[in-house]
Amino acid sequence: MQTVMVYSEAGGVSKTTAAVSVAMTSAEAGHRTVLIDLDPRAASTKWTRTEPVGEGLHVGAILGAKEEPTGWAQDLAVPSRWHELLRVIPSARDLSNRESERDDYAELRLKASLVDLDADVVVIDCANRQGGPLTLSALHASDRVLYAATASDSGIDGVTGAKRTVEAFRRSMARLGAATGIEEAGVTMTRDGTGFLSYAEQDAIDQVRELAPIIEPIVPHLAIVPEVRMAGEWYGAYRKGTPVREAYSEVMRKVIR
Amino acid sequence: MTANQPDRPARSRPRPAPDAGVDPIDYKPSPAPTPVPATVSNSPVEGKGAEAPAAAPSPVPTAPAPVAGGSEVTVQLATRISPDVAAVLDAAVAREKARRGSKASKRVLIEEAILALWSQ
Repeated sequence: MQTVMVYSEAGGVSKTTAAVSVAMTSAEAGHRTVLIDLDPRAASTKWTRTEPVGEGLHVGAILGAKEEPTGWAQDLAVPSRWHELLRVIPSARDLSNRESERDDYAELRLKASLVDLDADVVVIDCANRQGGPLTLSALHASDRVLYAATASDSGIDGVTGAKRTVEAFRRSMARLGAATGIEEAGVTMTRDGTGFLSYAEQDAIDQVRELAPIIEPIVPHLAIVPEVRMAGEWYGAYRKGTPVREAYSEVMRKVIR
Repeated sequence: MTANQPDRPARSRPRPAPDAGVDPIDYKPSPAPTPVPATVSNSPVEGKGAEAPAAAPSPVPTAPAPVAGGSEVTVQLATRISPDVAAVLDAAVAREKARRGSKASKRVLIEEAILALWSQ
């Protein structure tokens, strides 16, 4: 099983679009895939119209578990109506309560919950946090980190901060003498439309490229994406979503081994 | 015989977090427990070169007591120590367990030693 966290420290830089797209194209490619919404904003939960299996039984149950949550992901993953191989562990606003979690080893609960999960690929949609319990949980649970960025100053800031967090996590684990296998897969970038790149977009892409390898292609952010998000649909089901779907399929193939 | 044995202990079933449904704007984490003043054993730490503090014994606070029904607030302390010191600690834990029972642990002895030496 491969676990990929989609992360940036900036908001509005296509983290959720990237996470949902990588998860869905992974399912379309035949991988049993679980998408974990680890953001109290619950954007992927809303987009995929996922309801938890019971009251309070969202990802916050795992992070707030007062007993060993081993194997809980299997019980909390909800089948998606988009694809038979895609399941979603939803989030909710009260996941934010976990950001003041102070229990010892609370950051290992998410990883423990993935034990025996019936999946080939897990994609974690992270919140735009500078470290903290949510990000630490994802870092402990993941094999790879995929940075998400728009071709803008926010995109650059988000990747810069996220890289800093990942490097600090690695140093921290090294000091403890603990092994961490997390590696950087690269950056998936989006830009508006499909026309010529503006000077600012090209500049942003160049600056991000200096931080981490960009996973080609640059994904076009087309109007179909916000439209389907409003409607709770998968853009790949529509003709106008084809360029976006093809781009993310290629990104997914480079991220999922 | 082994064929009748389960692979592992039964796992717990997911249940909501204790504060599930509490809106973040209303959420207040459990307060940190107040340190409980108590006397502490001043017996010297065993091991080469180790002696009890020369200062007159005085009551020092022990580590915060666990909160009944709640989570104890702790911070991670992870460091490597020399084998000699580890052996001293292991021996002290064994001796104190015989004396105090299950309340003696590495954590308890480390906290007591730190507080006895450096607590103001």
